Amino acid sequence: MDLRGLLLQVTCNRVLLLFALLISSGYAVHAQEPPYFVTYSDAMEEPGNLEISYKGINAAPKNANSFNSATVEFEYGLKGWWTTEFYLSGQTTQNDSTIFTGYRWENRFRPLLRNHFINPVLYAEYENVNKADRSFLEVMGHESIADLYLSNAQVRPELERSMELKLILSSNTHGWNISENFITEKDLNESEPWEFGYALAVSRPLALSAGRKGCFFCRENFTAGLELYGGLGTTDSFGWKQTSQYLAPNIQFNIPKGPSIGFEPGFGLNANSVGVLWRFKVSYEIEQIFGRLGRKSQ
Amino acid sequence: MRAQERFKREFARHFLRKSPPFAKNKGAKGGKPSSTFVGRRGVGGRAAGIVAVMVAAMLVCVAADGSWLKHVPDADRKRVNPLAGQPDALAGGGRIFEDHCAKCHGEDALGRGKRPSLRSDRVQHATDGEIFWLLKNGNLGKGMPTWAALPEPMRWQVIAYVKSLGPVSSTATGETGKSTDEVKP
Repeated sequence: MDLRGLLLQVTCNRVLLLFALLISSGYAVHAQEPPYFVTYSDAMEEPGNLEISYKGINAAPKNANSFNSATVEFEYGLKGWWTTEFYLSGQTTQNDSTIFTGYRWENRFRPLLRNHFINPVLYAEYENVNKADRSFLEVMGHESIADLYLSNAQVRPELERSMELKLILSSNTHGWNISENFITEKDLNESEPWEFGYALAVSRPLALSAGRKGCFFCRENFTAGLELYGGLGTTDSFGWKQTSQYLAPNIQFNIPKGPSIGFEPGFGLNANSVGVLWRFKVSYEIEQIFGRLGRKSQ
Repeated sequence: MRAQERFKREFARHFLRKSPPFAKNKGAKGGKPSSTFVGRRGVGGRAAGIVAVMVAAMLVCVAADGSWLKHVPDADRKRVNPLAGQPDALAGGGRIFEDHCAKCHGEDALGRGKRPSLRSDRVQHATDGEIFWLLKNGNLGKGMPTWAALPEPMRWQVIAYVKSLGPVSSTATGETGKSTDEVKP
């Protein structure tokens, strides 16, 4: 394991330690976020709250080494209409190495302050990741399984600084959430064409009302959904050709007074896709983080 | 006409002699009346700015004073909680409240820090429909998120629970900085 791998491991250990401390202090609250891994809805982080999430992927692509990817997300609600989020990503590839792949910083803005049948959210993200990144936070352009054939040593030096923009449309009706994301990305380093992608999702809690008595495995603590996402080519070759596409059912369990746990197998729909992306996430929301820190320091 | 000119002269002389701060203004060298009036306009502008800030502050106070109620359409205002008074709904609403609302408004719903009390007269006397409208739309400009993603029956359960708590005036709680009128729950 090289120095970066060691640093990644130390960082992960610290994050896990922080998780443990927070969980033990019982500060958990549940956001109303749907169970999606790729698609964004109009749910914004509540002002002053910090959500820490760990998203992991395990996959065994055909003719390539299996890998585990880890992304840690820090999502903070600045305003009711403005959420900011910071990501750190890394991955371990079997028979290869463990590396830190980069960071992302995104901001989401909700331009309409009232609720409408379709609620738009504007998303802007700066990415600084190398091409060994396997976080699959979105699928863009002509990304395919062939990208995974190269070793970490080959693709790690290729740093990609890019700007990603999303138009998020989301509706909530009769307990259902329906969200559509239209994504575009531009590499800021090279004169590459604009890349496009999409993500569509639908979800619903297993129960629409809370039962009289609290219980651990109550239906209202679970939300199930379905995602469809993939690339749409580039400005030079827009369309479905030579893109990878995934269909992914998911489920989320909001543990009472604890974290939320999500699981999603993403099934590749064509030969360019990885067979199955096994996704897992744990997210923990801390209420009024800076207020708490302020009170403790007094 | 002469009276007007005399008035202007006296006015200029008055400010030249009796207003040293104006004379110190840039452009007031030599005490020329025109320069003096430039200085006067600067102070006037500052005063106008202060007044504008005060008016803006008053408007903000007014806006925080339950102004969202004015935006509730009549059709929404008249909606009645279909779960009102149902013991099961109250119990379930209490659990949802604890999970989603208590973090800001406190477990006793009396507010926390700048987050307002939900047991104020304004909230307790609001119609079910008005509170439902607020939960659906939020008050994003003032920190209240929209709870449209929460299924509708759950929102009604929360309203039933909050209404069951009853009003408590701010003086009764003995806490300051917690305006019961500032309804941005």
